[in-house]
Amino acid sequence: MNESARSSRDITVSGELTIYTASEWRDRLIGEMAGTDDLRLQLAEVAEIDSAGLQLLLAAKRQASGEGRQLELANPSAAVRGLFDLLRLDAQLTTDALDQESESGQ
Amino acid sequence: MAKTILIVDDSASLRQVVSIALKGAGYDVIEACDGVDGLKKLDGRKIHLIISDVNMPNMDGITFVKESKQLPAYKFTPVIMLTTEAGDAKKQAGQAAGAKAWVVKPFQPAQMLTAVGKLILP
Amino acid sequence: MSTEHDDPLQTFIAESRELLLQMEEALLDMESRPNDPETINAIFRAAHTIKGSAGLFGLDHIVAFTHVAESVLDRVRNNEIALDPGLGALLLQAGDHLGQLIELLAAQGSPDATVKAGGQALLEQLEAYLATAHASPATVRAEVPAAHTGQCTVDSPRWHISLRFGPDVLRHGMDPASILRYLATLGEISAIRSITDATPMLAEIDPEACYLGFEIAFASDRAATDIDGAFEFIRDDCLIHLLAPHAPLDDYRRMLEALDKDVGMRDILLALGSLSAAEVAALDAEAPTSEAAVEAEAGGSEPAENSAKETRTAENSLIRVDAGKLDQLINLVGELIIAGAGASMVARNSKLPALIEATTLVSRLVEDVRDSALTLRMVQIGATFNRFRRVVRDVAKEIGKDIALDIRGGDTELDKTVVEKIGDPLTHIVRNSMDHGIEPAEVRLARGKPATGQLRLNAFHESGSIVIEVSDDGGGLNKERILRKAIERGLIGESQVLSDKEIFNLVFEPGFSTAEQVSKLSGRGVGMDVVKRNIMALRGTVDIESVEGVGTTVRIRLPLTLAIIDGFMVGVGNAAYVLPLDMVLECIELPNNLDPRHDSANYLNLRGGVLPFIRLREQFEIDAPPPVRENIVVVQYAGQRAGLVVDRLMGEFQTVIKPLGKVFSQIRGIGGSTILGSGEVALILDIPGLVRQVTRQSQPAAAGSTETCTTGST
Repeated sequence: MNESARSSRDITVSGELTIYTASEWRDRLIGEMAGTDDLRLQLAEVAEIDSAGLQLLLAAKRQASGEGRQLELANPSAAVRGLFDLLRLDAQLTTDALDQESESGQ
Repeated sequence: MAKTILIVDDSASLRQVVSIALKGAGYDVIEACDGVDGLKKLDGRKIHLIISDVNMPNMDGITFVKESKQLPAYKFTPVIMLTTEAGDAKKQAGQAAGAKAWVVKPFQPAQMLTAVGKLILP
Repeated sequence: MSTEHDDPLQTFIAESRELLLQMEEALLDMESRPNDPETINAIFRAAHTIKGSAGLFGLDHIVAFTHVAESVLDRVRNNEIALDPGLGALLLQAGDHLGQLIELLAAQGSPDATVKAGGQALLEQLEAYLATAHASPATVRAEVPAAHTGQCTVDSPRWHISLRFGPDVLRHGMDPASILRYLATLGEISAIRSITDATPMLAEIDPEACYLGFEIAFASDRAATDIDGAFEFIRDDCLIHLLAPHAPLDDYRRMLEALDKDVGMRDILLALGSLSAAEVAALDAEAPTSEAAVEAEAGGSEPAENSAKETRTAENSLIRVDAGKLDQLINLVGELIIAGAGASMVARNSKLPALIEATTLVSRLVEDVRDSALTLRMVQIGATFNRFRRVVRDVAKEIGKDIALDIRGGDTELDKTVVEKIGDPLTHIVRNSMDHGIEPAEVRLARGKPATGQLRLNAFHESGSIVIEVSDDGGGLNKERILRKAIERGLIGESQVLSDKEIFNLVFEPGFSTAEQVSKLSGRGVGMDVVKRNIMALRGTVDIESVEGVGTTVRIRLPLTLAIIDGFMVGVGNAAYVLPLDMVLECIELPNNLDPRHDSANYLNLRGGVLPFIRLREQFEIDAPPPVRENIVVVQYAGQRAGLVVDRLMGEFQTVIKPLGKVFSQIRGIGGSTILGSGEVALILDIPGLVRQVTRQSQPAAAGSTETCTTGST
């Protein structure tokens, strides 16, 4: 686990990330996350997100950490930020309450 | 982008009043006069919430909700059922069909706004 | 917020009028079918809808009044009280009172003292029914037990809300985030912690299930019911703990026990500020004493709501369907028969026994479907008949006669379209009987009849038609007077000899009225001629039987359905055509002294009269050679007779009329199509059009010439 040497690969999540599209996004993310590299979920183009969408992000993070990889949630759109603000999740996600290994960056 | 609500009720006056209240609060509203008409309105457009009466001609609300849950685009659309204070059986049937929210008739427009707000804010 | 918006209020008024009418009909129905749950439901629904809409307009007086009526009806619906004639009459009056309130609203007036007093009197009578039923079940909600006295309470001035969402919440369209957004409108979320431990890894997640939970410190001065109300729609699916400001520490302890799966709860409560460090320490220090009993009690008071009204009668077994949809269904079944016949043909050609067998079965089932589809349009005439209860009752009162209505054959079925259109003519006939037929009581007594007049509505099926009779035991028709009047008005000549039936039927002639004095009910406006015209428009007939001094029966005969006609089928070449049977006069063999190869439209000497005829072979440009012997079908329309030359006479059968597609609408002489049992399409001849065509062609030619040659083809 050499932290600094690895480069992060971007995965763009866009459009609707809700209960209606959750199954679709899960399958896509599983596909796109294949590998061993660190990941950055680009969230700038998420137009809509609900609790189902949030759960997927949490699950992706958990998946990555289970595999010893880093997964960063980057550039949240207004919709994502709105939800994170409501749930005060920024603090929780960045302080990494999820990851027992406590591996992620900022 | 305003959230869109479909109201299905055979009482034209009820639809009108609820529609006025909802529009005033900032929602877009589509009206349907019964279950059949309601299904017609579920034509793929984005609908964030459905309000449906139970007792309606042509197709009752329970059937309408069941049918709507078969449509992929509206499978997860929340439904408020308009029930009666004496209508526990109907309420249960509605819940079984997938309508988990309800408003008891008669109601004031403000009560409807409150119930809608619990599910989607404008 | 009463009448800000004129338009919805107008809608409400129109709607209420209609509902009250329905309610009245249903109430009158009840007199004949006292325990029909659907009828009771209909009455309840009408009252309920009016109450519901009135509530929206803040029309409290209407809500209040309707509410009592509705409550009584609900009791009836639950078989707690019986709808006896007394209650029926009371509810009719209640309906009338509501009608009054609605009309006042329409006229922008408000109830005066008389109306109010009337309403109050009715309310008292209605409430008497509520009082006699057993007291309403106590639905007192077990309130959150008051703080245990003497127990220590927490310092936090905020609510603590603990939420664990059930797995199905998202699928039901409930978004926890939306609920929190709503909660935020009731106060301030001071601190929140998302409980995400239950969220699995991506590879294992059910993306539509909910795994979330929240611990919230919430500052609000709203009432507990408001805050609790935020979770109204998810309560059944979620684990919710709502702890008031300064709640007993025991409540926290109980919550922690319920959430024992969640690790680190103590830290979270501490971090959120819901509990202080000392309070967290106290949680563990104080061993739970005598908690078991309290727990058990709390568990026992969990809502047992579900058991309450589950024994309600099974869902009504009737559905209302748009008649247009039934028509569409019938049309589609027609198409299905054609398509099925095509498949059968392919199967036969393929000579695969299994395929032939399969298609045969399909064809037979499709035919069954067609027959069932046709019966869907049929409705019972009873509802129409029952409307007359009120009419007869009110009219009798008004004209001061005592008249009893006897309804028979209410379960006779006929086409819905026919039922809808027969109401008006029937009303007129009924009123006519009450007004002119049944004598005043003193006359009746003098004639040795019971003082109460008898009016009977009867319906039955007879050879593919429905017969509706309106009979009275009144004075009967006076033949001499009818004849005199008819002669006076020039309807008949003085020397004309008429049968009884012909004489009676004169009353259907335009502008005929036999009543000595014109009464306010039936003597004005539409006459019996309009009644006859309406019935004929339904392809029906009407005639009268009457015996002077004994009574009169008006008999209406109608086709069972407008979608089916009695047809007469003929063949030309390979094609089959259908004629409405009632237009066929006779069939004769085409005399063979005519040369069919040269003459298109001809004239025939039929028993001394001239009969113009037309050859369908040429009309429809059929190539197949004519057989040795052709037949001629004599048809009549509007007094004009014409002959149609065909190859074969194929007999009578019932025909389902299908509208014509665009392709056929251009062809002259065709009025519709039907599908034969074989799956073949037969065209229905437009007899009026053909007769017109034939007679027009005959104009330039001198009648009687059998050699005139005109082209009949288009």
